Parts: sequence; C-alpha cells; structure tokens
Amino acid sequence: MTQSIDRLDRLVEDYLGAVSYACRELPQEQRDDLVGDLREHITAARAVLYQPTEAAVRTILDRLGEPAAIAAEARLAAGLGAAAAPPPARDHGRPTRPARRFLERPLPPIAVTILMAMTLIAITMMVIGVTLALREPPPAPLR
Amino acid sequence: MEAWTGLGTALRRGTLEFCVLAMLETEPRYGIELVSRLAAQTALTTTEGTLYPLLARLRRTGWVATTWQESPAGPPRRYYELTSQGKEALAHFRSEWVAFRTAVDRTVGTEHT
Repeated sequence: MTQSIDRLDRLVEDYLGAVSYACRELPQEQRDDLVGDLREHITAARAVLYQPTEAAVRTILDRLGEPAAIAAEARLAAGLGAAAAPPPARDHGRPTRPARRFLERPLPPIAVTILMAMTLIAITMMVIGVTLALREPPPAPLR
Repeated sequence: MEAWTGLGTALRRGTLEFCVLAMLETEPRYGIELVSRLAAQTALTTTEGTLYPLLARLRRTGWVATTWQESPAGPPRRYYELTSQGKEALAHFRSEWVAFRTAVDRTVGTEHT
C-alpha cells in the first residue's frame, strides 16, 4: 500500500517537474508560484478522493492539462509573448514537425534490398576466404 | 479548424480574467473551487491548469488578494477575494463589454440570436 502511495506521489512530482521545466524561461519566483498553486490544487483534489487510485490521480492531472499548455498560458500572463512559446498542446491542428535526421526516416525498399544484397555478398566472400585459408597449406603430396 | 481553436483562445484572452473577478464578487473562493467552476463552462477555458497563471497575474496586479485559511479536510487553502481595485476594474469592464458586445452584434448580425 505504501508503495502504491509512493507511486502516486511520484506521478504528481513528475507532472509538476514537467510543468516547471516547460516554464524554465519564467522568473524563478513566478515558476515556483505556479508550481505551488498546482501542488495545492492536486493536494486538495486528492484529499477528497474516495479512493486514492492511480486512475483518480491521473484524472486530476488530465483535468489540469498538458504542462506545455499551462506554460504557454504562464508565458502570456507574464508578458513574455507567445512568439517564444512552443505551440500549445490544445491546438489540435497540424503541428510543425522538426526536421528529422536521415536515419530516423524509414529507408526506401530499394535501399533495403541493396543493403541486404551487399551483406549477402560480404558474407559469401568471407566464407570463401575462410574456406581457402583453412585449405592452406595444401596437403603435402605423398612420396 | 486550427483557426477556430485560435479564435476561442483569442476571445478568452482579455475576458476570462473579468469572469474570475465576477466570480469573486459575492464571496471569497479558494483556488480549486474557482478553477473547477470556470472549467465547467467549456467556452471559458480549456483545462483547469491554464487558469493558475491567470490567478497569479491577478494577484500581482492587485485586483485580488489572497489569504490562507484552515480547511475542514486536507491542507490549508488559499482564498481569493476581490480588492477595491479589482471591483473598479470589473465595473470598468462591464461598461466596456456592453458597448463592445453591442457593436459586434450589430456589425456581425447576431443581435437576435
């Protein structure tokens, strides 16, 4: 039981940590203020839970919303402007994707075929090489 | 669709804080109570958490003041109440809002909806 309460606490701390990180551009005092307000909210909401299950705690956090959305609001309230803000999570439009690095993209089928063929050739040549090497020296002719 | 979501955000911006002030007009309320009442009005807010930065700003502006009070269940609660500056701001908003709403209704053709 204690273990499960620890897990719920960790869930809450992870959430608050994510909010704090998302608000890292804000002055320390404002960030602490916000995290304090959210902590108080969560504590009050948990205090009236019928059963302190993980699902119940997750519901409290879901209703508070995405850390990024809260951070975007906090930046606006602090007058830091939305320009520096990442797109808030509640805008369900097409998010602008960061450019992917080459290897994160799935390789086209032809490249996969070529790579496989080259691997096969390399293995075949290794086998041939090893076989030839084992044959050396050639058996001495009987005299 | 993206533009519509943006519209809701833009409309909330500038009005939501006065809705908070109006909710405090009759009695002091604590954070979670304010937040869940506002979040229940889906047109006014998206998630509960986004209201806390707003409350913090109202504190900094001096339109609300807070006091800690013991709670019958759980930890002490921070109660929000309207200051005299907050009352003035709300009164000012009300007259501005009526003029604004009337002008928009007349222009957009929503007077009788």
